[in-house]
Amino acid sequence: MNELRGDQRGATMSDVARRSTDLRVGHSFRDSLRTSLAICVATARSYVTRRSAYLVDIIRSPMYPAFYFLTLILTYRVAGRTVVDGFETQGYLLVGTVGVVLWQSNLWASGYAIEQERSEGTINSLFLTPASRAAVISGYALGSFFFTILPNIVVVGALALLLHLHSNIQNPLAVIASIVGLGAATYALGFALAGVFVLSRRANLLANFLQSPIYLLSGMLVPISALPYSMRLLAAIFPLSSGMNALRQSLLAGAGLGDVAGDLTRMIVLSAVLMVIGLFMLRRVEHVAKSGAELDFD
Amino acid sequence: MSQRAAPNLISTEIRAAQAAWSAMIKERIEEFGRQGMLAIWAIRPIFDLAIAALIYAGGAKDLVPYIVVSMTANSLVWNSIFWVGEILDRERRKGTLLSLFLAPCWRLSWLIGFAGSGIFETAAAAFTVAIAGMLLFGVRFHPNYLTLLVTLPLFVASLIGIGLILSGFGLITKHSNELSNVVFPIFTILGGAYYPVNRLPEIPRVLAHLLPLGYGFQALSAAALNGASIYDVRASLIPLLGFAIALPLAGTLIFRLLERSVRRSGELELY
Repeated sequence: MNELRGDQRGATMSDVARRSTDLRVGHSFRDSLRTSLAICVATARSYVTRRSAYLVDIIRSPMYPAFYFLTLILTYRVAGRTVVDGFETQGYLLVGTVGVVLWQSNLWASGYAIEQERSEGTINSLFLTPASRAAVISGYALGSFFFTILPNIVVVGALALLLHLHSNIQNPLAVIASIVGLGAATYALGFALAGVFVLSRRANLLANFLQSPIYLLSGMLVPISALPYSMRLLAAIFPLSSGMNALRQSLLAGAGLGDVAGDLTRMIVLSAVLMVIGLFMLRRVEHVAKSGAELDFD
Repeated sequence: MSQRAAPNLISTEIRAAQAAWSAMIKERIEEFGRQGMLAIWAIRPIFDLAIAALIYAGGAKDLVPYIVVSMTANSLVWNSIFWVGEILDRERRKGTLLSLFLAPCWRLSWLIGFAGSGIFETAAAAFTVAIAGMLLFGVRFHPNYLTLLVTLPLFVASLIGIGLILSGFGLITKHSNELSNVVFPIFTILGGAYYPVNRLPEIPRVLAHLLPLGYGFQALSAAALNGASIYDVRASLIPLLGFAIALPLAGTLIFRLLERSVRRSGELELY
């Protein structure tokens, strides 16, 4: 009665095999996730510890975006412009400053992560460990979130209060989705650049170079509509421009989730493309490192 | 005896400055020579210019020529902060700072040599911004060369003074680049690269007049765009002359004091 037919036995065996494989995969996935998380947290902690070692580094972190914001407020004022792209100038620029903070932070943390290891002489050790490179980069981004983004958000918030910024938030969820999406998009761009920077061996030059073009092409400080046609096309490729638009609409114009859904979708798709490019570039870096191209040399 | 020693001393110091300049220039060529990095570096300020010009394009268009000149001259400011101001820390990172201090010549000689080696990338950036201003924003120059010839050295001397002061403070803070990143935003907001400082509200305007940058930008723009004579720009040139004398002297003095303090505490090569 209890004897199983051949096909039943076969089915059960394959079931067990599948389940054990599932279990193994599940177990291995959980393990690998736990390991990656541990690497990410350890890297973040190390990043914050190193950056906090010098007082000047702590001071400078929130200075640049705040001063740049004030410089551009004065520039718009001297230019006699009180409205930009349909928004009050101060509100327009303050949201732009949030974009600047996220972009700067991810450019110099996740984008610069592997280069940082190279300049500190630890890149070869990094490639010898079985640690996920993506987890290391994410660790830099996480560290930068605590060291750079949070203090900057406090400074930006204080500026908003001082300048009596008028927001028009109808749907807080839309604001949260936009800001998280924008953060993820800047991270994706930084991630895509991490490998490029190392392979160029002139990461500092490239990172310095890339700051302002991204401000311009993302509509952080001047509206994209003011750009020439060719640059507007280029701006459409960057996910950050959609993120900036979604954040401005939801924070200053009372847009709901439905209103910014198009922008958010475009941002997610383009960010995913950047992540794939980033993974490909990291593999390329690893290949170059393993084929003896001495990545630790200038 | 002393009459013969003085020319010898001067020629030794000039040779030291030349040697420092040529050694560093080779390093700069190596740095910028690869993969078109000089071109990438040179076009970088065009985007800053574009941001400012697009702001003015929707308002006070008459200020676009001013910002083309001020952004061109701002390449020198960038150089004084991020290049001259970081010289010592850069040498420390390379492990050559102590040897430099042991060299039998004045500190100022090799410092000036190193400072001058940033000339190519600075000139390339300045030239590119000026050309971009002409091509993208239709700015036309009507220069008074004599005024430029007088203003530019005064402006550069002031900036070298600032660079020396920063370089000295870099020995104390240990992280010069971070210090540069603290100073540069202050110079950006008060310097007048994005607007003439006399159009600022009262408090920032008063603070801006404590720096040489606004005077320099105003004199240079008047001379480059409107053919202003030395007499026409005297209101900017006189304070600029004061800065050009005071800042290099203050820079040398502060540098010497800070250097002594760091050497006494034995921290010259420590982080």
